Amino acid sequence: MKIRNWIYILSASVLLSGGLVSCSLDVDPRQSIDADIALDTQEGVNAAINSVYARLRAQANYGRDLLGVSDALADVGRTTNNSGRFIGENNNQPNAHFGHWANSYFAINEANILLDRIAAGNIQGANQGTLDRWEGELKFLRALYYFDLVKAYSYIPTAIHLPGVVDEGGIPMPLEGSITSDVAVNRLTPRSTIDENYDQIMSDLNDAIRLLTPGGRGVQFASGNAAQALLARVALYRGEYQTAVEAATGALAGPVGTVLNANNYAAGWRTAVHPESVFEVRFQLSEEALGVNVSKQSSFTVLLNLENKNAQGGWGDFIPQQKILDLFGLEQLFIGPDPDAEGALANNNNWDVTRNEDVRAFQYTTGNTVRNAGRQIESIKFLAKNDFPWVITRL
Amino acid sequence: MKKVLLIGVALLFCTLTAWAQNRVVTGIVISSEDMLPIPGASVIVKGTQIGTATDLDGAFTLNVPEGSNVLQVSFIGMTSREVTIGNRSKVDVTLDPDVETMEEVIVTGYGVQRKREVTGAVSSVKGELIENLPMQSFDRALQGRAAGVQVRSANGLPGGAVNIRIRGVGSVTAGNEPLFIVDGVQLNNTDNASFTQANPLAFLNNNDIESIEILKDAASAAIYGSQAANGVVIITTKKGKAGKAQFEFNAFVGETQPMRFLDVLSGPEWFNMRRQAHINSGMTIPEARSLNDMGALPANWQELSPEQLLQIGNELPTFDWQRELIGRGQLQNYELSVRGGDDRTTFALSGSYNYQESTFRPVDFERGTFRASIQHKANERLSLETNINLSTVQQQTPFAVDGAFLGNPAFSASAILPHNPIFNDDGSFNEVIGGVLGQNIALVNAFNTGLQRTNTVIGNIAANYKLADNITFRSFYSIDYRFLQGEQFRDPRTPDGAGVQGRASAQTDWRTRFLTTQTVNWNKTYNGVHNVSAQLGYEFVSETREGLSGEGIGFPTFQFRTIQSAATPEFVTSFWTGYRRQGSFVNARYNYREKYLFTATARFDGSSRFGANTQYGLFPSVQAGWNLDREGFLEGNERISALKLRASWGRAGNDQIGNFAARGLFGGAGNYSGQAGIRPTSLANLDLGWEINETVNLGIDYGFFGNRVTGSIDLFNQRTLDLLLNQPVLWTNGFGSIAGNVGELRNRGIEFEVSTVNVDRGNFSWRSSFNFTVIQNEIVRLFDDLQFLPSNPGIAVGQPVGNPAFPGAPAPGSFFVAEYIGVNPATGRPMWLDRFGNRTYLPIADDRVYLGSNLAPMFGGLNNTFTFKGFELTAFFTYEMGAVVTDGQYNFLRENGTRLTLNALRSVNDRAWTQPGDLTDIPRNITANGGQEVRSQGRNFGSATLLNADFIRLAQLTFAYNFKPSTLRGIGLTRARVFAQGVNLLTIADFPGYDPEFVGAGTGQLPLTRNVTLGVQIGF
Repeated sequence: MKIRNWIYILSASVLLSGGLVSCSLDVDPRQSIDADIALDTQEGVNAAINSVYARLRAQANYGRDLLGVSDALADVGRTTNNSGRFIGENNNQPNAHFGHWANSYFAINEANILLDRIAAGNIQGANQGTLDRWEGELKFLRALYYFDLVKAYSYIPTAIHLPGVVDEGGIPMPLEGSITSDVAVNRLTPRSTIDENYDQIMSDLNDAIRLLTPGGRGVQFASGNAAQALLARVALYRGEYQTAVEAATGALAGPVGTVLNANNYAAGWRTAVHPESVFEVRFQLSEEALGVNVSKQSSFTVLLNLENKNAQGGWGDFIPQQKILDLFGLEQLFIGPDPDAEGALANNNNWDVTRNEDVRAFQYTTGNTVRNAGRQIESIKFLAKNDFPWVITRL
Repeated sequence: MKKVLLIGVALLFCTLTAWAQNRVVTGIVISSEDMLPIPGASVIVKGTQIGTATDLDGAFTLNVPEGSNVLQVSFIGMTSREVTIGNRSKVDVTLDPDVETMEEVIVTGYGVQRKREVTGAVSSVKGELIENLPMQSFDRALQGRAAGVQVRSANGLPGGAVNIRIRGVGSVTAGNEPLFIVDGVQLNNTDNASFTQANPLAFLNNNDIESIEILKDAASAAIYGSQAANGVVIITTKKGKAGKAQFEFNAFVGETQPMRFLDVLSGPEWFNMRRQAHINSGMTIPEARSLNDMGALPANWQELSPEQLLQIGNELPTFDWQRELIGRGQLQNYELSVRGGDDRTTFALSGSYNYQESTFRPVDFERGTFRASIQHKANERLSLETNINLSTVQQQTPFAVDGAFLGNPAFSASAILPHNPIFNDDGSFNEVIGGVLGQNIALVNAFNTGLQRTNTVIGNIAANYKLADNITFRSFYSIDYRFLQGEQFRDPRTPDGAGVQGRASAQTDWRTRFLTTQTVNWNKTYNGVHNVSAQLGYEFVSETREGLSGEGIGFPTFQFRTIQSAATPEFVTSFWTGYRRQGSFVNARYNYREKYLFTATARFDGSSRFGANTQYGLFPSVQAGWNLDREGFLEGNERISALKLRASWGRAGNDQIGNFAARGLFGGAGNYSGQAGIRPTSLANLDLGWEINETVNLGIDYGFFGNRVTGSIDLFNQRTLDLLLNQPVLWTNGFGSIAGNVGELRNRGIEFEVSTVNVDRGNFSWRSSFNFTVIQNEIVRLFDDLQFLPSNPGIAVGQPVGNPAFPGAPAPGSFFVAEYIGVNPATGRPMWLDRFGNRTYLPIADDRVYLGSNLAPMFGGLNNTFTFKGFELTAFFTYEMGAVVTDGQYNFLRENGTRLTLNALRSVNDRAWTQPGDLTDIPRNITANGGQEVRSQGRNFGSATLLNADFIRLAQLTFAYNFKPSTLRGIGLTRARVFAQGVNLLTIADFPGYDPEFVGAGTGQLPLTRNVTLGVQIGF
């Protein structure tokens, strides 16, 4: 072949290839947006704050463990071994403990990123009132997460002064957001002292009290009232009793939460939003529930509802121990019409418990025999919470 | 068309010879290969222009002039022959295939090469080897067929996932899937089905495959650049052949059978085992407690004596739940294909129907396929081709693919307490089930429904244009389109559906992949000895995937089973993702007299998946070969008939990471109180780059004794450089980890392949082929001088990384656990070794040792084929050795009913410690404290559950009879074959679970099945 053709063809193909190689490889995701622009609008910041709230729902936080594992690690109950859960915690086995470290710090980082962004200003559509509310809610949330961490991973301040207990320090306390790989890889936040942790928590709460209206946006969001209530508890842990009294008094006087009298006490727990709540983590949609295996309801009772105790419900993994039963005078009681009737004893609806005059005894009743664990006396505190649509039961 | 042409040519010859007739000679030309007549063969009287072409039956009639006594017979692809007529008037001629021109051709990257010229490590599997196997996807059929290629079925789901690893596991966090290419279309073989496993490769009927080539070394694969690090599997489908249209009808029917039932305890046995466990735990009234655990305690038990309760326990019935839920399924396959064409246009068409039930009703697989392949020569320069594959698959889904779900029959059938009746006396389902499972899985299985549908279009169109005699431009376009749709209903009559009055879910998922390749090929021979060729190409790929799914609860009655009847929508969600890749490549080859061979390739590839700083990468390779048999000292040597040395070095990349893994993003998550939420989902990672597979390969191809013994040996050292590992980020910084190209991994190994003709005498022949692979897989280096990964200490320097179960899963690492040493003979408590070699009940983290991984370091296959006259017997074995696995299903059963009220294996219970002095590995049975001794780890802790997964399996046994063509001709057939076939007829293994071959946790997975079929193939 002629050299000229050769060159012609070769250069054509090089042009073809080379020209196309410079094509754009840009592909943008459609269900995510670049971090650089995500928080430039009021809507973006609102949505990002929702995520900080939503992390409270995690199983490791208020989804289950801060309530369930606390009980299992303490001596108030025992495991039924129905699904095999809580055994390690109840036995106080090494490493069977709280695990809310990661989720809490992720939430704190989100709060820090948002606080940094709010401080930088220039958020489309946000006026001063909005900025204040955001800052107040985020500081409340940051304080709550840090308080839950410092309680679980360091000593309680009032306990350090006991003989033999050495202050091992508090928890790491980053106050700036980490959103670049540089910061994420290289920032090594040391442990703060316990005092520094509590100082920061109280300072955040005082800011929240200052920035938020007492009633806030309702019981499922941070409010001035909720910040006062939390401050009271933090002060109590720290041994600053005067502050605790003042903050608690302020919280009780506020518009959020009504203390129920003894007659309404049990009914209060059966409502979707507890009337006494000053801040309540909301499981609003069924998809937000943790489901039949690890939700609070399933952890504490096998019942699906009180209308029909024979229906198969949760696992009922953790039940009160004898001391608690004695405290409230709880014993199994046949309430059916005729114990000799065919199947009367096997019918779980024919059973309840005896109770003493303590209204808290109404938080307990008999479970069922559907899982063949035997009918046990269980806590039904969480029966009415909407955290229990059915995911598929598994071991 | 062809026919007209032939007759025309024949007429032409006839007119030429009309006036010179002297004597008439007739005959038939047949092929020695299949003993079939050859139409269109040329028969010429030597030294004249007199000749003819054979007709459709291979017959010819010729007028031979006086003085001429020799016929020259020739046909394309056959060795020409000269035949002396003598005084015969009927001359039948047999032509042999031309070995030189028919020499085996191997499909390598973007082209074909003669096997003699191949310088990389390429294995080839002919389509006929995997023909008619009752397997839904060809990847499953590749098990044991080629050295270096390890194949494991994930489970026994028809059309389910298959785990295929070429030369070990080369990546920890990025994928390990090879690149599959069908007729130039690069496939995405991720599954994405929500309700079952729908293997994307099941779109292709195995019998449409002509050959499968596997590019194993990085040098061969480098031309595919960034996607080729895990090897490349190139599938070539059957194409049209010029000549009379050949029809083939193929059918087989048969059944799937369970390979094994687990031998579990009977009702009274379980009762007594439990009773003893209560006694061991110091419990009072053990008989009553045991009956209560089983839900079999009579209401008046307090009036009964322990002896009476014991009698009740000993008289409990036993029901075989496994045989109720696991049984035989039917399978059938029908297909019709036709191939034909003329010298300008050839075509191949086929259609098929495949149905297979699993051993767990109603799980099944039903597929229809249609395929068209057309090649057309428009003129001397331009040719066009297209291949279109359409398929539709419908699968009835299992309760779950795996997992310890109470309603999952594959989990519960062996674990449910055996005294529970399946049916009531009136034939209805028994709904009172004692034990932790508390569900009648037969009822659950009968009432739930689910369907997964997959429609696939894989098609291409290409044009080849000859710019000059030795320059060809090829323009290729293809589509890989996959549409998945699924639905599932949890019936309100089942426990999991009752609480929500039924739950319906639906899924749709579209994936579209567009690919174009533009190539220019050039070749030239200088001075008759220097053969040079070159290829230049460009490729662009764009893939998008999107989906929509939803779920609703609250159904009026069980008859309403689709979402529109739901009272409450639970969720509706969607997604979109996509990526692009482009690259250009160049390939140059040179050989001197086909003696010394050299190849160099380079590809420059870019992908949208990677960080801005590392988006493009260069993947070079060099290869060299030396055909020693072309040297003077070996030429004509009878003993050493072929000998080639090969050496190659190359680099290929791995791009199997998330589409947006390098981007810093906020994504939708964290809805709260009815309002939408967003949160940071990933850190920007500008330096995230390719993993590079760098391989040095040394090989020998050999043929001895006139190629009666052929094969190859390969040694390779494959290093994964820039290994992607997730470096931990302090959680206090808001993220868990960030991927970095920081480690190094190595797979070193030897591959051995040999094929022999053991006997070839008259009517009898015996041929064997055997392959063997040994691979050593180990981590060479981690980051920050770490000896093991903090997040997974199983990933450690010097240890194998294990085999990830499914695409997207990280490699599991080696087993790094405390070594279990059986029970204390005095007390029956389980014991482990601590780091000082002492026995302990409570091993700690420091006591862990490395005990191997689930990646088998040795595997292969052995095939033997015997033929005698028309009979044919094929026995194919596969084997794997050295893998260590845990089987979740066995682990539950190994607890021996102590932690949970589940049934137990007889082999385990018989070994349980019962009295001081018992030397055994199964601890004493107790019930207190969740079946766990006080101050002790659980009985399944550490290496207690590690199992040896070695097996040798008779994977295929086929007995067939081929009818003689001469008998068939009378009834208008060209070929007829009947066969009986068994798959997985025999497994030799020391394994306590269902089967040693599975991938994943093993809990609640459908085990592999044995398949038996009868079939017929008819050609006409």
